[in-house]
Amino acid sequence: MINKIIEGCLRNRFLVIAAFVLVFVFGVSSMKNTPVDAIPDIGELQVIVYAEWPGRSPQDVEDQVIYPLTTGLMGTPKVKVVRSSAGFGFGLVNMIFEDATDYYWARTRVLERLDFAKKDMPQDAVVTLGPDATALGQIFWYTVEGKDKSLDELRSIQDWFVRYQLTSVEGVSEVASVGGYVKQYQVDVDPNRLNVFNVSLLHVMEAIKLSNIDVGAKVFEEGGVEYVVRGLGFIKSIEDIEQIVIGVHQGTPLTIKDVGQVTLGPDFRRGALDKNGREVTGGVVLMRFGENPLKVIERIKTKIEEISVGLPEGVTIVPFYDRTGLIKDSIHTLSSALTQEMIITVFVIAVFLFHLGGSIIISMVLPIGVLIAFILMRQVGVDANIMSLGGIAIAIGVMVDSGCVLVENIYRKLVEKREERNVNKLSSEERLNVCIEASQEVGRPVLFALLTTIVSFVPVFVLTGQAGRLFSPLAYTKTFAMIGAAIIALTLLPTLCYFFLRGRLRAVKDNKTAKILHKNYTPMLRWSLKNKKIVVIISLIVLVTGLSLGSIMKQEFMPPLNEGDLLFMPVLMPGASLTQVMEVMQKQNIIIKDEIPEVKQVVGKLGRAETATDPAPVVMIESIINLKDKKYWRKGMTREKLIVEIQEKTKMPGVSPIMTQPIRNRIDMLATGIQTPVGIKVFGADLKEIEKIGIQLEGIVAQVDGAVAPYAERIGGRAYFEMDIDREQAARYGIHVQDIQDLIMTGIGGMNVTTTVEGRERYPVRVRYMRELRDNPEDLKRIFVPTRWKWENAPGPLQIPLAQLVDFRKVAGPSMILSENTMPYARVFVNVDQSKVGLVDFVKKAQQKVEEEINQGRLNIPAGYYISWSGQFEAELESRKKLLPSMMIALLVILILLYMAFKNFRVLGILAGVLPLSLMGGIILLFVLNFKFSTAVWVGFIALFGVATDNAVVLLSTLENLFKERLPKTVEDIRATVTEAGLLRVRPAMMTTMTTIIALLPVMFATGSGSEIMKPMAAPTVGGLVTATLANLILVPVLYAWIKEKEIQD
Amino acid sequence: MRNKIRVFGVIILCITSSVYAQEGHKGSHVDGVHEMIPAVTEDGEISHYTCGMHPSVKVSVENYENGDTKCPICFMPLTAVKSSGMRSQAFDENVISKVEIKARELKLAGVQTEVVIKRQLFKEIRSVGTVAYDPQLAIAQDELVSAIRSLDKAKTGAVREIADRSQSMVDSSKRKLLLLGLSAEQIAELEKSKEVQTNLILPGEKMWIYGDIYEYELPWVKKGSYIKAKPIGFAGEEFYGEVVSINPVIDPRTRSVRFRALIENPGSKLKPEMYVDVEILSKYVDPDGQEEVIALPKSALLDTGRRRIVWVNKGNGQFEGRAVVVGPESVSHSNELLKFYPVLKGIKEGEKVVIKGNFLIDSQSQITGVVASSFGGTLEPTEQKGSMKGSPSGH
Repeated sequence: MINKIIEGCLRNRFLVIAAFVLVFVFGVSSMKNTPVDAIPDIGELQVIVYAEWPGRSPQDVEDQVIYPLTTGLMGTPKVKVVRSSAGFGFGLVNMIFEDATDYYWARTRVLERLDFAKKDMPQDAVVTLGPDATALGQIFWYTVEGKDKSLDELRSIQDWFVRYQLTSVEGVSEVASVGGYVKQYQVDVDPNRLNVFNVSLLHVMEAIKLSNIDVGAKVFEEGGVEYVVRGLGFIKSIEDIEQIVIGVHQGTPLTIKDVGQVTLGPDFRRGALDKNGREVTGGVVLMRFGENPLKVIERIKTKIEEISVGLPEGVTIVPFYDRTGLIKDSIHTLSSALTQEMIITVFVIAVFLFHLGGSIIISMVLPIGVLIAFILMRQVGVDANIMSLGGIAIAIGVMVDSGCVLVENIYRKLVEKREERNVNKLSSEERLNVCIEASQEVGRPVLFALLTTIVSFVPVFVLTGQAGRLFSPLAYTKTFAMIGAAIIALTLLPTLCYFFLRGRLRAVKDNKTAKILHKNYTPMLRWSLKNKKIVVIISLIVLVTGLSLGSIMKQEFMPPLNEGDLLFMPVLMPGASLTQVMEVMQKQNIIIKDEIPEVKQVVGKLGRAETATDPAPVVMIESIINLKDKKYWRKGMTREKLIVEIQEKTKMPGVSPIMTQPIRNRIDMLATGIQTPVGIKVFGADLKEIEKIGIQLEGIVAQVDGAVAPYAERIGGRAYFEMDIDREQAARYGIHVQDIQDLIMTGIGGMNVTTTVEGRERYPVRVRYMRELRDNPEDLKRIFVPTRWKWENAPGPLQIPLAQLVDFRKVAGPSMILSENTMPYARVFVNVDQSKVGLVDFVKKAQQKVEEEINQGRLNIPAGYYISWSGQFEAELESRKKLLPSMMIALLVILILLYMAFKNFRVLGILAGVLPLSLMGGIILLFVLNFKFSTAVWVGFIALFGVATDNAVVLLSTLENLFKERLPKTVEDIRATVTEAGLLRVRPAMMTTMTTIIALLPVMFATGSGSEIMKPMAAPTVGGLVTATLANLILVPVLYAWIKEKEIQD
Repeated sequence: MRNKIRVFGVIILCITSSVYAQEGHKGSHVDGVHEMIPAVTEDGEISHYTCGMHPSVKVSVENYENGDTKCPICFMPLTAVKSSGMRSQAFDENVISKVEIKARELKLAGVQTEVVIKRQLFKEIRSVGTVAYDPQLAIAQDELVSAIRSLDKAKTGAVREIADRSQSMVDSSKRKLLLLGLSAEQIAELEKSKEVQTNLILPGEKMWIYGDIYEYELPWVKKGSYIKAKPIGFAGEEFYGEVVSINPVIDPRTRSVRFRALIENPGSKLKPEMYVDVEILSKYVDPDGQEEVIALPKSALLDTGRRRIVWVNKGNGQFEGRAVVVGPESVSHSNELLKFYPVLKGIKEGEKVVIKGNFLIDSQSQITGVVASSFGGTLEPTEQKGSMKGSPSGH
């Protein structure tokens, strides 16, 4: 079939070229429309349900909102697990879906359930579906600044103008505000006055509620005109509130002014923003799932320009985090590497081939191959990012291989034909026939090479979890590029060869490069054939060195991607107040801005932006540090040194200076579950009990061999002030629990009773006791609860102080309550020394040990409690289930392919002996470059595996063919034949390996964003191909000759 | 053939083992992408690593270098903790933790200290009251005065019966006054002066204030306690006086007790029936009867519910966390905005305590300190149930 295709193409040359013009156009348009981001989204596919219940403790949120909510959400189809967390004033339900579930389908299913799940919610709890954005969605942060504007004015501009305008931009899912103050009308009531006038706080609230409404009253006609009738009564100012009447006291109206003060003030907040040490307000733009961030940011910027005109004078929108730079940088790194690769490849080919036309033909594979890869990416839905473009980058060298083989073959055949016919020019028909014949000859090997590369990548496709999401784009694009290259090699290249392989064609023996190669290679090979044992011993030494180096190399999941901006994340202990954290943030930001000259600006956020995708607690500061261009840096300053300097200079007691990067941090913040190798989850309703069991387990697991520092999490950490109602006392005064609770909620906590409507803007009206009368335990005692009934002879209801009704106490409580599938859990984290014991074995042993303890009664797990084992060992189990078979299948398929090609086992044996040696070169280079062993490296090795196999296969097939032709009988003959085969292949072999190695050099020397991920991936191929080529050109002939010689001797 | 199989074995082994090595470590070493570089300085070696959010996490240097660079709970990079060389010191009683902090960091954290001195402290109680308009009491006083007068007359007279009747009238008038809230001394004085307090019905140079306090405040309000009255009408004006008497009977309905105080009324601004906010300042006397007590500034105390901790500056960047026992929150004599706790145990006079930045120091002690301290512990059952309620603590 391949032969037919080749022949068909060569006979319809115009059609082929026309088709490729179309492919080119389509490819370019695909390339332009492919969404571009810096890194693939490696977060789990999750839908977040966000519940807000302002002012409530984590315990209340868990019991009254999150628990009923999760019970209702359970049973949503395709959900892997429902995890939830309850924090102060809000809760999150993370519904983790199976991979490859359609995102919007999943959201719809959650929405269906949500309707039902909401029914048991407290009235004032607000439950919403999170925005349709992922962790990678926070693409643009900005501040709203103005010199003469106060923070609440700026926040109003952000909340009521900027926010909605930016939300309207195509591709934006949500714009969340952060920092500044939300304006609020604050009615501060003096309880003593209430007491004096004998009214309760509820009266005050009721009065305000009843005094804020506009109504319509249809129309009336007058003189043929219809008048629309309105009743105006919205609160518009402080005075409006002050004049609200509560009742009548001894003949005079009692107004709000008589019982308290009305002021404009800031609403309670759980987040703040600071720029260079000055408090600011701002927002974050969340991009919709699956959108193209580059384009969305572009549109946002256009929109900002549009609306800037409408901003009050002096107010500007200033971005402080913009993904564009990073995306462009990393794409630039890769595209410039790609371009350099292409140029270098053309050059290398030219050197080896010594024919410009031929070189150009081969190099056509690259641009068109890449475009075909983009077409396929667009169709399959693979986005452009570091990983997917990296897949193309590591494919470049290999892509030209088939082209090289093909063109070289046609070239040689043409020269041979000319010599045979002894003419300088062949007729068209002859040229065509030579082209067809020569192409058909290599058609199968080209296809074979493609198959081996694709098959060897199968294990990458079956990777699951984070690694899977990170590397599958790469596996896809590499495969696409290879497919593209193969298509071109079999259709377009023969056609082009027909047109362009003309003029002076030198015979191989006249080729200068070939001459040099032959001159050096021949004696080397001869010597090796004589001293086979030494060669084998050297190979074994290399093998052992590589293996031992491999075993001592350090491991990491992923090499770090340099995101450009830094994210400084100082964290205080749980329980720190917003004021305290704010102080720390401002001082640190001033230092970072003023004392580090490399810093352009620093904007810090503490606590949360008002979006479901930001669960940060108040004690967490996230400062985005924009750095100046490298050329403005101090001499000798590196990113690493800068990080150390910032951490040193901002060091404060009790503050942990964590330095990370914006995107990575987002992904981490939204990750849930256990990320240590082994974890035990203790499920149960009572937090104290599960904590206790966890701590016991910590001790038990520590005794198991191989356990490294097991740690049971402690749930307490926040200071709670509890008011426990004494029912006996309450009964004595005839007071209901709800009466006391209302007072605690509104008097102490404050409550927004109504919302003003002032044009587009809306502000809450909050009622609360005066600050100095409620913000310390002593004063809380004298907060009065009115009795429900009038006592005999009393002028009104009695006012009973809180101290006589409740027990006050300070206790430690949870700062966050986590649960999974509706059940709260405590986690025990275990690291395992994997040099001592395998993960899966460790878990087995630990499980036995725990069971033993339970059976012997040393560990008591009460009814309603259970433990479950989790952690990354699950991934290993899963990998064992999937990866091993897939690797076996891949290997088997390759072996079957090889057997089909050679029909004998001897070749397979030699291949099997040579391939490990190829891998060792990669390990040695990694060691020399001080790279860690990461999944990226492993992917590099898989790529190497394919290339190395191909090269060895080509040489072996030449050897086989030659031996079949010559049938050598003596040792001398054998060696001569082997040498001949070697010489025949040395040029193409060197050409393919050199193109691959040299093509990867731009990647190896790249420095921009993204290079840090690509380098470890390229290194195994570069290093491996060096040993692979040596093994190929020396060890393969040696082993082959050895076997043949043995056969004769037998 | 056997050789070939062996060679096959090698290749399969190579690939699969490299895959395993990867898979196994994938999760546990999710480092890298975070650029966490432990800050190493000239002083002190890194003793272990911990998490800023979860201080009870401790990872040894060895494990850290082998890749445990993230907090198992929140996946955040761990922070290096340097040994401060005071690992093995024995602690005095009450000392729960020690920590050393560098001068620059102290300055940055805005740490402020204050020398603890002895002060006279007052317990402050807020209440509301009215300027007395009490014709009933005035009449009762009048009755007593006339009863005494008639008794005096009767004594000089011959009729024994009249004197007896007058005596019983005097006695019943006294009882009535007692019930109305006058103290025995006040009655005795009235007997002597024979002057009815007209300021109970009309504005005068001194006025009576009637206010209510609750059962739980009773131990703190005594005869002679200072009192400050702020009439609702005159914003910012204050009137001073002292508590003269406290009703002997508690109102059964509200569990409150009426007190009477006499206050200066310059310019006769206070009128009967006016509402006033009242602050009662009652002298704090420690269990040994001392009036001058060690006064701990309120902001120096970290109360976790489990323990009350004060950080003492020992000089040279050394800080010591102490568990303390304190009395009720009180105010200073000179300025009632300055709040203190009388120290019953744990702090000596003249010691420097941290009044600002103590939360940070306490946090630091959990990271580097020798013993984990206040916040960030387990959910233990609370030992202190009800300890903040009602009665003065420390007795």
